[in-house]
Amino acid sequence: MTAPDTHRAIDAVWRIESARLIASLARMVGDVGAAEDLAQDALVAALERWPESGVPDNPGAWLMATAKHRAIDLLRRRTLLARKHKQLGHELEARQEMAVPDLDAALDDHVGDDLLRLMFTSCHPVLSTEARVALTLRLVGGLTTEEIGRAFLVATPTIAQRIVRAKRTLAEAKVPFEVPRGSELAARLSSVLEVLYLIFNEGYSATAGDDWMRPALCEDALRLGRVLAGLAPEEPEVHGLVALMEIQVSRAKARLGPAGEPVLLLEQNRGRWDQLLIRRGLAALRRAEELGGASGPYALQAAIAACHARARTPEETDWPRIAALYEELAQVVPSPVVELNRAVAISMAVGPAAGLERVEALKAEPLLKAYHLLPAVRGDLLDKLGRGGPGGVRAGGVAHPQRAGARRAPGACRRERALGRRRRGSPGPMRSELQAQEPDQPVGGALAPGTPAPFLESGPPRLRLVALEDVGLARRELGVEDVEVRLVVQPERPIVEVGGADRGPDLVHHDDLHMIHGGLVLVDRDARLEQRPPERA
Amino acid sequence: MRLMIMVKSTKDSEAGVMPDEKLFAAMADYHEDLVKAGVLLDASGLHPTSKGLRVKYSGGKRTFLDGPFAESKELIAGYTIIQVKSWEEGMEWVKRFPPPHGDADCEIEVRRLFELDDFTPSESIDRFRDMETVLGK
Repeated sequence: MTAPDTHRAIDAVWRIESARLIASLARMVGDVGAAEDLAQDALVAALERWPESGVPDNPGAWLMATAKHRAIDLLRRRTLLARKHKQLGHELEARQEMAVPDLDAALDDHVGDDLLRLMFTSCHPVLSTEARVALTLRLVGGLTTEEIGRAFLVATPTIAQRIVRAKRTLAEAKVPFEVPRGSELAARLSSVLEVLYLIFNEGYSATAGDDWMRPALCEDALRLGRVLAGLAPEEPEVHGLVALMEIQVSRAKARLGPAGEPVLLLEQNRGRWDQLLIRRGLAALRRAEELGGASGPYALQAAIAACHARARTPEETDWPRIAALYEELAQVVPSPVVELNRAVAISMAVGPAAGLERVEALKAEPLLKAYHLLPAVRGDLLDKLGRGGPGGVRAGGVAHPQRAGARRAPGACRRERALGRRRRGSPGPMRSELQAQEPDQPVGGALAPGTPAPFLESGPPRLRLVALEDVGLARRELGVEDVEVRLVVQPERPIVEVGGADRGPDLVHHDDLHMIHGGLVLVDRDARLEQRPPERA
Repeated sequence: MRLMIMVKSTKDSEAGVMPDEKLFAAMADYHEDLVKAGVLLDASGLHPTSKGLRVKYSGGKRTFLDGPFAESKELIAGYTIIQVKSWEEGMEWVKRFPPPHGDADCEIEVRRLFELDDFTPSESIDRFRDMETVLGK
């Protein structure tokens, strides 16, 4: 085996073993930061030795034994822990007498619990959400700092800083390395689930041109979710989240067209949905339900996703059940966004008039004031009812779905743009802007504020701004140094302002603006700019 | 990437001899480890080919052949599908695969599943893939 081969083998061993290693060490030394350092030391030792000696038969046990020796050194230095050291010394001696497979088995006894502790500690509420995400991927997912940076479009030193600070925060707050008990457990578990789902959504919102590290986050999150389901098999919401992720990712390959353009859920080729993942998702959902967790927020979202997964054709979709599930979800996690989704489901189940009624009721909702999709949905329902939207009257009255290329009044066009639909290709009889409301989107926004929901739209994903504060990204993407980009959401017309030091803010022409949702914007790279009108409408 | 670990048949497995408890336990342990690591996607044993069927295509004609089939070393007795980040990681798991037929001479074979990314997008590839799926890839 050549040295590069050995290094690749070591990387693989690291990916498999690092979380268990760090978890066991953290239990010994009571500090995840020190545990990671010890594990890294063992890794360095392996990198030094294995290219010459070859990879041992049981590399996990080798790394563990090496790291434990170092841990004992560390504890010895911490004289106040003398008692614990003695105990560990005995433990290690006893283990060294055992045959290798037994050592592995002995470690396994604790390893599950330790790994669970590691997950809870990495997702501790004392840390910021960003820090939880980075620490979880690093310590439990076995990703390098660089990989995390690439996946999140953040510079490596920033991630490194984040991880260092997180470990310091945990140490300073004296966060115990344990699985929370009693009443604390539910809240802490939901933090773990939220972190996994955030990671998943970050990967899911990746577009075709992105570094492969981004979509790989879906796999990482799913893997961690599956691990967690094994560690906490009695927790229904864990299975609910796994079900949700399995079913969502089963559609990954159908979400993009040949040119990398996103495809709406109801327009996807269902033959390309991954039936193996769907089966796994449905099984996980069944487990969640059997454990009495059918009304958990993740299980409900998974059940909604399952309705789509079970439908062999869009027409078979069980919209009444989806509407009922949204109703239940709205009770568990009340949110106007969930209500809006429910309205869409009702309109699909019963008809546009019933949906419109709900939407009208939501107009007074302050949280939806700035939510561009409300007017978009409303306009679409009005269109379907042949009444025309408030932004303009259709040139030809009721739009004929097959005449998608037909001339449209500006209002209709705007709505369509706001929903990111492009008038190209054959829209087909199921064409409906509303489907954009019921796409591959978790209503996760309701659960994890700030999560860019992977909201499927057609339209070229050329510029993607995750949170408009990230002007740096905008600068890079637009190739302009002194740009200021700001999102102005208005009820009828979302605007992206592009401004600079030497000129007043320009507006990106709304025709070039394809999608705005939860802080996610798509703008044509060659977007036309308009001078800002003296008074904004 | 997804890898399929295929366990080849032996005379005994083809004769329908069930593995003993020890072997079952080793397989269960291994697959539990895969589950714990979050890498197992699917696994199953297959009935002997005496319960199987072959369809031969020759000269534009189809011929149906009932099992059993003779060349037991080339037949498949079971499979395990794992999802891993790299080939090397897959090999780490393959190395840990227990001898699938106890002391008997036998083989396992590891193959990589095609993923969408393995092709450059084109309309015909798309159609081909759709067909594959419809045919129950």
